Amino acid sequence: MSHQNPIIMVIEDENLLLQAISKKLENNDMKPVSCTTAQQALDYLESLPELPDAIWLDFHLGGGMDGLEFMGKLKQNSNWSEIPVVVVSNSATKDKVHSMLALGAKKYLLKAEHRLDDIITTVKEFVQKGE
Amino acid sequence: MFKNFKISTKIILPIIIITTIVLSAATIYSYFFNTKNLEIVINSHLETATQSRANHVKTVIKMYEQRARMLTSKTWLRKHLKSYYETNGEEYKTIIEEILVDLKLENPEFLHISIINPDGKVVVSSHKDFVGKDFSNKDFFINGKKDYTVSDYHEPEYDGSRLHIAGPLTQDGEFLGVVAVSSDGKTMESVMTEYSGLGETGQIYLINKEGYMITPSRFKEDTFLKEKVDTLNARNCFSGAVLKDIAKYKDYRGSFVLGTYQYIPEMQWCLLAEIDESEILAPARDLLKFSIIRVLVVLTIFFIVTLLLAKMISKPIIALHHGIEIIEKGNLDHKVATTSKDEIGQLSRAFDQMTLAIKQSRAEVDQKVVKQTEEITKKSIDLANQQKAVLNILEDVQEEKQKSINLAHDLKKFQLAVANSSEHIVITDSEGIILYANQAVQTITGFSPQEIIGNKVGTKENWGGLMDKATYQNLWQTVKTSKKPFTGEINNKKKTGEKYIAQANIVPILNNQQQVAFFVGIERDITKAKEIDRMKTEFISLASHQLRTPLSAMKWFLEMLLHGDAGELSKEQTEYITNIDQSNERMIALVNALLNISRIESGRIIIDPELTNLEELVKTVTTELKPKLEAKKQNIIVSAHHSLPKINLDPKLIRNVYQNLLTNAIKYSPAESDITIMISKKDDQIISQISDSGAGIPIKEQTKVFQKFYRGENIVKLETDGNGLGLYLVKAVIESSGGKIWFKSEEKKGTTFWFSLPLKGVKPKKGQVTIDS
Repeated sequence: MSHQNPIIMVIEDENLLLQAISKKLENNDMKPVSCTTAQQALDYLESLPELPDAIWLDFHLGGGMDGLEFMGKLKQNSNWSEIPVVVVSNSATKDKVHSMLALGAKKYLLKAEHRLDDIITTVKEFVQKGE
Repeated sequence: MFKNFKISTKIILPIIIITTIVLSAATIYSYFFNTKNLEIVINSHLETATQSRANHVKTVIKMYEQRARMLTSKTWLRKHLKSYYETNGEEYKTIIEEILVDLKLENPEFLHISIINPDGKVVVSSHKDFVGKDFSNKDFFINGKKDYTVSDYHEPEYDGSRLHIAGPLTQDGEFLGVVAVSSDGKTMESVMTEYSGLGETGQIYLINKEGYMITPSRFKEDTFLKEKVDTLNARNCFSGAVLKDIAKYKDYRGSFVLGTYQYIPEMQWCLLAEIDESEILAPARDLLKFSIIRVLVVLTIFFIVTLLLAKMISKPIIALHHGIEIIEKGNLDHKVATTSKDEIGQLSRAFDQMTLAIKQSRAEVDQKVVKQTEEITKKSIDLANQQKAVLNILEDVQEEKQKSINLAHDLKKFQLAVANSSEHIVITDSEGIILYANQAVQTITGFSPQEIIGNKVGTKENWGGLMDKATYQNLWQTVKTSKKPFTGEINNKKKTGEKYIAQANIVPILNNQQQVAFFVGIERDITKAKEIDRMKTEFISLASHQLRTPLSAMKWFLEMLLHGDAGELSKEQTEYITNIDQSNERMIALVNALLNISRIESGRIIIDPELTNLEELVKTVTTELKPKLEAKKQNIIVSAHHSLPKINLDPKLIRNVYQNLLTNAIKYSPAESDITIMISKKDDQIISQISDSGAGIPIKEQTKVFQKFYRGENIVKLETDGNGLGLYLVKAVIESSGGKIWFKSEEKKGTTFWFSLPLKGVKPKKGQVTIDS
């Protein structure tokens, strides 16, 4: 993770949101890896030459695997378990927040409550901590 | 008769009688003694008076003789008489007459003076009628020839004369005749009518030998020689009886008198002195009267004293008697209790003791009677009890019968209730073999009771067979082994094969040996309820995902636009996009509010209390709101109770309350105004007060403040931003936390909201969602 532009994996099934996030990350000198499903994200993790510096994860995901399941699988792989994960979701019920944080998520944010800038700042912080 | 008298009478009567007798005797004795003494005194006084008066009479007679002697001693009278005799010359007679007239004038007591010749013929007289009269047979002539005598007069028709005084006229031994003088006896009369010392009724008078009164009576007129006195003393006097003792008799008037007498032999007269007995005895009678009065007074005093004395004596006796009467009537507790130490007192005490003894002995008897009565009563009670017991048994039988009837009724009621219940109810034996199924079983499952009775419950043959093994085992473990009721959701199927979810309650019924005798299973088809529940959850899910996702997209793209990520924007473009962004933010807020309301209304909200410092909570909220405050140059003043304790409450919920109220205050207050928050403690409540000086709430709308979607007419114009859900939510949150909210508002002046929270905090509540998630 010594490269200049940190790689941020964004897992978001809503295409418009994904576009906005990716665009904003790029504007902030970061390299987004966009995934619309959890499975796609897992595939990328295995196939990509470099592991992402942080993962932006939605809770509700289409395609049969939700954010929680993905998180479980991520933590089971020792290569991936150290990657900081920020959960950005539409809902933040107590159960969801607790289970995510229990699996090692760094932060759980509610989409509509936060500006994109703010979320990216947060992600950036974890990337820098990781260094 | 005396026996019948009261004691007081018995005492009084003899004393009074004796006293009366003694006093009467004394009075009578003293009366007679006094009378006797008086009589003696008066008698002796009368005797003295009689003697002295008799002597006086004799002296007067002597005086009369003396006067007659003086007449005859006139020598020239005798000379002239001799000359007359001798010459019979009329001139002598005239001289003698003149002499006699002169003598008569000299002695006014002399009525007539006559000279009688020795033959008894009147020769010369001062009274011409007498001349020539022959007195030769008259006593005074006969006696007068011898000596000078006084004799009484016997011719009442000859008024005025009382006495004759006669004496011989002699000259040188030659008898010339007799000088006779008739006198009116005034001297004698004046002597005899002297009554001084004789009281009111005393009198002294003379009677001649014939018994005729010759001196005046003290009481009668014209008695001379007319009043014949023939009294005891008159008779005794003439009979020559010696005066002795006191003589009491009736006098000539018929009055009782006490009298004495004295015989005057010279004249053969009796001098009688008498005094009325009534006068003598008057003092004695007065004394008697006084004595009688004295006796009466003494008797009266005696009577009173005796009466009092008798009363004094008889009082305790009466008390004793009264006591006896009371005791006779059966009151043995009565005490005569006389305090006196005399014999009556002793008697009454002895009586009291006797009463006590009677009482004791009676009490003993009573006790015996009571004891016997008790025994009898006991026996009769025993008998009654036995009767009662028999009756009770009968009653019990009756009661049991009634109970049975009641039970049958109850059973009927329960049967009906169970049979007609909308819940699916089955009763099985301990092995789960269906014994009973109600109507609802058929309605819900489609199996008729006939079809399933005798089958094992909840198997493939009826509505069961869909339960997973673990649940199935857990169920039977709970009800059969642990013998506890099972509650849970189970999957069932109908006769048609349609599946449904049932809320099942299975209760084991134990017998006396604590073994399962029956199971009662009550099930309810909750498929629809579950569906509704799922739909609500889905709505929230939909709202949160399907609404929030596009809102988020808009939010972020707008953000990028404004940030210049798509190139610089003109001023106008920036303004428009800012407007869109603000609208989008409102939409997000609205969605959040709707979600929160949905959560609260469905009751699925979690209350997760923790000890919270309210002042700090408020400060974090004000910090958050700082940009808005600064924009309007408003100032928030927070003041809190100096020792405000931490309260156990859900900070997320209460934070929402402060957020809402403060946001409103900021929103609806003018720029540069002050907003104050005060947190105080009152009793067992924490009171938060949020005051602004804003638009206020119109009075007519004040009742609608907490209604869903309500916004004040005045503020709708003022501020378009707002959804009318804030205060509704605030109220719901506060009430779910055990508090209350109220306010005071005046249009154009401002509003103050107060809300209370219990000091003891709020109890945690399990749920599915939190606010703002």
